[in-house]
Amino acid sequence: MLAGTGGFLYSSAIAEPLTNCPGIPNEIIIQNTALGDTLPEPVHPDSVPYRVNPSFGRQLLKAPATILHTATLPLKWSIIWVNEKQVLQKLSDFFLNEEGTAGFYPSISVGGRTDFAGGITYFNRNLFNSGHSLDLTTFFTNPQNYKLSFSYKIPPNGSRYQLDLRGNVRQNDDQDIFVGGNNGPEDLEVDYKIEQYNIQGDIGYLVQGNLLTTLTGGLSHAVVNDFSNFTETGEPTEGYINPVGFGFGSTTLANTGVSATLDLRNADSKNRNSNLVSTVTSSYDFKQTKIRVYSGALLDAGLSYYRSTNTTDYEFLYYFCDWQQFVPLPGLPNNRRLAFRARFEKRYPLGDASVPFFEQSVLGDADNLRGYEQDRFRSLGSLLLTLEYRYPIWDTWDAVIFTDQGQVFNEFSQLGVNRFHGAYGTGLRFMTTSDFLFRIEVAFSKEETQTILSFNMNF
Amino acid sequence: MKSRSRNSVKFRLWLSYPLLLLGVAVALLAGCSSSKPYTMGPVKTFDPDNKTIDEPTKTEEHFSWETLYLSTFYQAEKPLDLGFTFRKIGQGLGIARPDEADNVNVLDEVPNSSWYTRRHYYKPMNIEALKRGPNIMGGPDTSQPITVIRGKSEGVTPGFTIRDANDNTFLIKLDEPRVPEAKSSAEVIGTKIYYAAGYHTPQNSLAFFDPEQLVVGENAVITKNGVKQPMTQADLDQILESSYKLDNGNIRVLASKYVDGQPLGPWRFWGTREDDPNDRIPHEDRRELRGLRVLASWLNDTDRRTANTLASYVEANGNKYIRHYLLDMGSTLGTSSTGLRKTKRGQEYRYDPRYMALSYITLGLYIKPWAKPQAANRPYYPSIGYFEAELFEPDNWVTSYPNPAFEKATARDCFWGAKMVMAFSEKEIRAIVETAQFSNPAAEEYLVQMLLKRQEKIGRYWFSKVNPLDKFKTTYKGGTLLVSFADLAIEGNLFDSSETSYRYTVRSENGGNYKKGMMTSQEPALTIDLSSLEWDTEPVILKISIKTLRNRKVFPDKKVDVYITIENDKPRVIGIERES
Repeated sequence: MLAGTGGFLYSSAIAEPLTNCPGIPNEIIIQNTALGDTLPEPVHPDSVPYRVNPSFGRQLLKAPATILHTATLPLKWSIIWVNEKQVLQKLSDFFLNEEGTAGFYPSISVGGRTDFAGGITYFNRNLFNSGHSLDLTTFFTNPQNYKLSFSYKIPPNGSRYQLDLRGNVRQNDDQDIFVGGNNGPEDLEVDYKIEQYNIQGDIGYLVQGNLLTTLTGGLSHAVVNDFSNFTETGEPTEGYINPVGFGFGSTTLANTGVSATLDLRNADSKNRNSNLVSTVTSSYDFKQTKIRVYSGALLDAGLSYYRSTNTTDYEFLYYFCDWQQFVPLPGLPNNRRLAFRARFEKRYPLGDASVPFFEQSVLGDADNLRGYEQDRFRSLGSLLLTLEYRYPIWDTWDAVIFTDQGQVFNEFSQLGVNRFHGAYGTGLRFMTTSDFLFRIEVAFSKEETQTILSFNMNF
Repeated sequence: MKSRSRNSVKFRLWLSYPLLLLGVAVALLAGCSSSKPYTMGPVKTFDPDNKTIDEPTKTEEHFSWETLYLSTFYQAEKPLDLGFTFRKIGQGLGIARPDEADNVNVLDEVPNSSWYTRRHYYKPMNIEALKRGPNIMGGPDTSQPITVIRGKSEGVTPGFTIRDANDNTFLIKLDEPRVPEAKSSAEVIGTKIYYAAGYHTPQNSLAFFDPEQLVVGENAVITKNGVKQPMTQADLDQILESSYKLDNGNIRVLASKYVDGQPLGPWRFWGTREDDPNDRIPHEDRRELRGLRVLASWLNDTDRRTANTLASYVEANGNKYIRHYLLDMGSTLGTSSTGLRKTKRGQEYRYDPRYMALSYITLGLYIKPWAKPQAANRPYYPSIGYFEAELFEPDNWVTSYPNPAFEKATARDCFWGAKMVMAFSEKEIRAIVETAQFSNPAAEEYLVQMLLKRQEKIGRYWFSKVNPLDKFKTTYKGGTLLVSFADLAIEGNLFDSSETSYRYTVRSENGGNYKKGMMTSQEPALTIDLSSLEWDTEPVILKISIKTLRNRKVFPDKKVDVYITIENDKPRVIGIERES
């Protein structure tokens, strides 16, 4: 109602709620002042609720969104069901012990020697209540392609010594050998089938806080058969492969050696192994123990001697050195950093013996020359150079842009600047504040485009 | 040539389809809007959403799903809603208006409802009322033994529920030793500000008592590993162990009185509730929820999500209906539910694809200002946490997870929110902050200063998007119409009245051929001579278009259209249309 004030007529544009409208609860009414700007009406708008009735046309325009919304409902119901039924907790209770130190988790592999492999891993980080660590892992693609492996670690527990035993059994019925060494064309390949048994033991000694020396020894047995006499292009393999000393048939190799790792890296945090997919333990394992390394270097070198126990065909020395250098970009936070790696490997046959093909250096893998097929280049030696630019895109997610340059060779004299095979790519690395989780990368080369999913850092 | 010509025609036809579609879509959308920006009838001041309904079912928050949904699928649904997309394109082309809130009246205001009650902005509350806030009573009775009836030992905020000697039930939230006073202070201050702004909040108050006064009730229960079990003294001791204690051994707690009615669980910031016939407007289209974004940005209330709301089935005035509350202000200001706030809170979503993409594309060379080491370089008070005003940008402020109502807020919604924020004077802010009883005066002063600075930023930003003229009043005598109004930018001390003037035009909307060209007033009051108005139609409707000049330049370049009718020599404001 409008009211007169001293001869003036006055109204406010902040409409005051009615005080006598039926159905309006008292507590949401501001006591009206002397002035109001509402008028008496047979049907006052305060008694008519707001309504929103979208037109048919408006609903039609919304149809694609409605379809997507409907499609997500099963996911919604599933997530709510999982939460309400505490499925994850129950799974955790089922698969893990009470302390979370032992249990099972699924393991998967995408790419690599088979397109896909899945299995289960049993782990125990406190075996016999002694802090010993055991991992039993299975990867299964089909009865012709599988891998069983174990790792048993006795951590230093305050001392300077540690012991690491590991082994595996694998069978693959459709593997490729690209012949022709560093210059071999992409289609010059042959297939083989392999059964392989490995066992390896390392005794580590921590010389000082960042220097670990290791004495290694092991035994491996391989059976290679079903070797094709022709390459995929139909050419006889004799022109490329001398079957004597190449590694066909049954071969048992013993090896022993030494290595040293010097860790001078600085990182944002340590990989504390609090999630299941990590395989790091409290052992001195410098290569997977730091997250977001931003400066410093890691140097790794080793020498091993290999000899066949069932034939005189194979005897050789193997040596390698690996240099990783990390440099933060100047003027930017140190989590924008360059990571450089140079890895050199060489097998040196002794006397008239040789090196079986499955022990030779290979390039073409999720960890080295990305962008090429698995085992694309093979020879007695290899040189790999990797440069990565790593930078954060979220709290614990990194992006990476990388290039890999590598070549294989038989003799040092073959090394040459113009013999490098190059690949480049980009990817994402997912971490938590305490664990590396996995990486997804896409790598390009002149031959292939490879998509990589890996649960380990390349370096 | 013929072929080329035909191709050219085909191309033009092909090109015309999307334009035609866009036109149809915009027309469809335009068809939804009201044609008249004023009413000749009464102005709506109340939305009667308090009709009696059957008791609705209880609901729960599904945090995992809602976080995933709002961060991903909901974001994908938006462009797939072609109405939304066409409107955005239309806005870009200048042929469509923003999707404004559905529950505003012709004066661009929110009617009262079960969601909202007009308070401080509309009828200034005095200092005592502001300090009292929603508290009808002064907290639990701590002069007698207090019975613990329920415990919560898990989760990020351990606490318990008590019943005092007066049979009142309170949820007790504890302060952490590393951030003493922080959570309880944030809760007290946030509650009073939200209440004064017009929202329903619980009665939250500070309480001090000796832990020895606590007695575990006979039927007290506690939930452990998802299983309810009888609560013991050891359980209570464990909860108290992690709480902040005063030098005299007493504890300072936040006591939140259970709200009236039957709690039904949280309400959501989008959609409507199927079992509530009163709930007719999609929540993301409610002005008071969209405008809440600005208030939340002031308080850095990044946890304003489903879990921190409550629908309560109340009985009032003989009706039974749902009243909608805001809960849990413990994650405002410098704290979060897990302790101290990170510098990114309020700056980006917890998972924010925008900044991920930006970081990726720029190769990490773009460094988010709040990610720089100096971002954390602020005076530190444990009782405050991280609360700053330098990096704060009102338009870019976000909650931890996307909030559909906040995402849909338009400039007009935010202008509405900003005027709620600007309604608090420095004296009033100080009075509210005082109720948090900080033991460190320097901390208290710091908080006041940060609130004032953030308030100023909010005013400067949102009052630059909409012409901040409001509270129009009219008088009419002897052929002269006087229209006075408040310049909220001047009231908020953002501009000086001496540097401000108002340029306006007047014309009659319903005949009379009355038109006055550009006129200027140095005061927020316009005197309009209507003697030349041919008064042959009744009632007359005048449209006054006002622009504001600061230092002789139009700022912001937005007009406010005020519609006034004069009937039987009685003037009345019947519509306000704000350009945005």
